[in-house]
Amino acid sequence: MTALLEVDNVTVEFSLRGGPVPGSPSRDRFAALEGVSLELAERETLGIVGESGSGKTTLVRAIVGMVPIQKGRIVWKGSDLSGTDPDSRRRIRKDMSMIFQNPLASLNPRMTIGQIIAEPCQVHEPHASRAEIRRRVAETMERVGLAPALVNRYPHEFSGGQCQRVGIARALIGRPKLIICDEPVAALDVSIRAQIVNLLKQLQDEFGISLIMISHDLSVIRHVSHRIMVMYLGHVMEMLPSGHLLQNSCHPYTRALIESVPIPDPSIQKAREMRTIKGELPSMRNPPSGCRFTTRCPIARDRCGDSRPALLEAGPGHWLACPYCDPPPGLKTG
Amino acid sequence: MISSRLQPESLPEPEPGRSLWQDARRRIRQNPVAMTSFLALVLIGAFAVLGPLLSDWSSEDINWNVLGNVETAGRPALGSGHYFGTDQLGRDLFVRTAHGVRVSLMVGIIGALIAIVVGTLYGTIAGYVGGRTDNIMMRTVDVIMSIPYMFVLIILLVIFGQSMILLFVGIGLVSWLDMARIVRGQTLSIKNREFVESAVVIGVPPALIILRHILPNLVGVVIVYATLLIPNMIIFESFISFLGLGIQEPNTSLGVLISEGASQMQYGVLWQLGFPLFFFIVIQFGFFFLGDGIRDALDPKDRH
Ligand SMILES: Nc1ncnc2c1ncn2[C@@H]1O[C@H](COP(=O)(O)OP(=O)(O)OP(=O)(O)O)[C@@H](O)[C@H]1O
Ligand code: SF4
Ligand SMILES: [Mg+2]
Repeated sequence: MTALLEVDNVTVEFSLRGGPVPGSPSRDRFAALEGVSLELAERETLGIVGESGSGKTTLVRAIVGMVPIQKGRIVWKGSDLSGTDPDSRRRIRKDMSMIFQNPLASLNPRMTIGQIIAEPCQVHEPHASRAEIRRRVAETMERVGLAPALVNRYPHEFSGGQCQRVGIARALIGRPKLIICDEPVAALDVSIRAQIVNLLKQLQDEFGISLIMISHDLSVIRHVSHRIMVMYLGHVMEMLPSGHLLQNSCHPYTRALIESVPIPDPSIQKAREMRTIKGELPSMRNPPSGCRFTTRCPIARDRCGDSRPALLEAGPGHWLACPYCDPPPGLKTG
Repeated sequence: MISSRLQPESLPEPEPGRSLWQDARRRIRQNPVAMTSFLALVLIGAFAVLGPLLSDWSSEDINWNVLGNVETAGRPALGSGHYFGTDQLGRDLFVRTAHGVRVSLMVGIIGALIAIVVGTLYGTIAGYVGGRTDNIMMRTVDVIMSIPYMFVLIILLVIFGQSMILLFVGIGLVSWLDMARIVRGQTLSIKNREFVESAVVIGVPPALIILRHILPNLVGVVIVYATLLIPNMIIFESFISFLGLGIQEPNTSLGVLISEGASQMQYGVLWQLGFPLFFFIVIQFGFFFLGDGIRDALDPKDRH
């Protein structure tokens, strides 16, 4: 498998006064993301979990180029995105799209559903005829489970689940290689979540898209992802194949996440918000030194605060940033 | 790939949507105060334009029979043809009031149009571009606002003589400032909404984002504010005219007529004040309640 996307040691800093300010002195800045790396293969789904403020949204915004990165590289199919000219960057944009958390807020209330879904086509394919665009809008709507007769409706006439289908259609119509979903179901009714998640999964199979899926909900993430990345305060704590999550995960933070949510019976598909782990979540603006989980880690030792533990390979496809945790119960020896 | 089994001919007839504008229009039709105001303003507009056709007099004709005996001969009466009476010079007040309403409405509407065009453009650009550009642009507005413009305008009018053009320049200079501020604030909040973010991710060029995503969501605020700005501009002009510096003879405006009427109050010719004042007040309240109604209609959540 060739890597479609490679995030290499990326750091994103914000000014303490709010907003990305590349030129401000370092004492006025904090790193919302520090030394984060990942690779994404074609047709793969990467799930990202972590408490609020762990930098999940910042990471995906850096990938799509909405926040500037201070260090590191983002490589798309072998070419460094920071080095490419605006023209080719726009072409790459065509290959990536995004689905947002709040379905209604992500649709312009003054545009019809048809205009909203057609927008990526108009931007990236200026030569497409109106009839051609109209046909593709109708096809895409049908594919995501919206009746094409609804094209002239407005977002406020739709339910949350329907709005999210519109968002998915808009993300899909340009036939992207990667769709980034930032908490795509968090704002939806529990009863609709499974439909939307399954739709995303089907579309991925059908069109061979890669997905990055952010969620608070461990059961959703486990259901859709091939691999799971666990983030805490801007650092990657652990990354592993999702089938190994329950058995093989080892990082104290990952274990705490798992224990805080009894994985619900899949037949019920009841998704519950992740409860926070014991102790205060430290401020991103003044994070603990060394391992960022030290202040809340049940097995922390003195040395944990000295230096940041490296993300090391602990098993096949399993990366871990804690040298002290016990070998996971299910890890095969040898 | 998506199969292309759907051909345009085979598409079902699209169901009509209900845009937010249609919703707003329906709501405002159900608001009696706003609709009454609107009707009153339409009638006043019709009076301003068509009124002179109903009279045998022009706004400059002097009725020599009345002159010198205005208190009795110049009274409002249907028989004399002076429906609103005459002014102190024996000119027909019905026609002059229509003329004054026309000029005042024009002042108000031109002021509002300048505010809409300049203020909206300025405010959206400042708000959308942000950063240093925004800082410089908005500080400039602050500086212009801190100038006592009424004072400056009066000096200009004294130095260069009274002229309608100077008056419009003065109105144009001040009317857009508040609009620019309001629009910038709105732009800042719309800019951070997710649908703009999603347009940025898609790669929509900035000019198109402003045109398609920001402006249409601003129009409501702009219309409401412009509606409320028209009476302000009319007061502004009236004040200058009241000081004797605004519109000059043979032109007239509501401010000029009110000023003349007020100066004649002690001679028992109260109608000279009463008619222009009536139109002035109805116009003021009309725009105020209409603007308020539009605001309610556009944003029903605000209604209590
Ligand atoms: N534009 C910005 N300017 C300043 N700080 C920011 C900005 N965007 C995010 N942050 C900060 O960066 C940190 C990470 O935020 P981010 O939104 O990436 O977290 P998240 O993991 O997506 O959280 P959530 O689960 O709540 O969505 C937070 O402390 C946030 O306050
Ligand atoms: S490095 Fe130390 S503090 Fe961090 S998770 Fe491991 S044991 Fe806990
Ligand atoms: Mg987030």
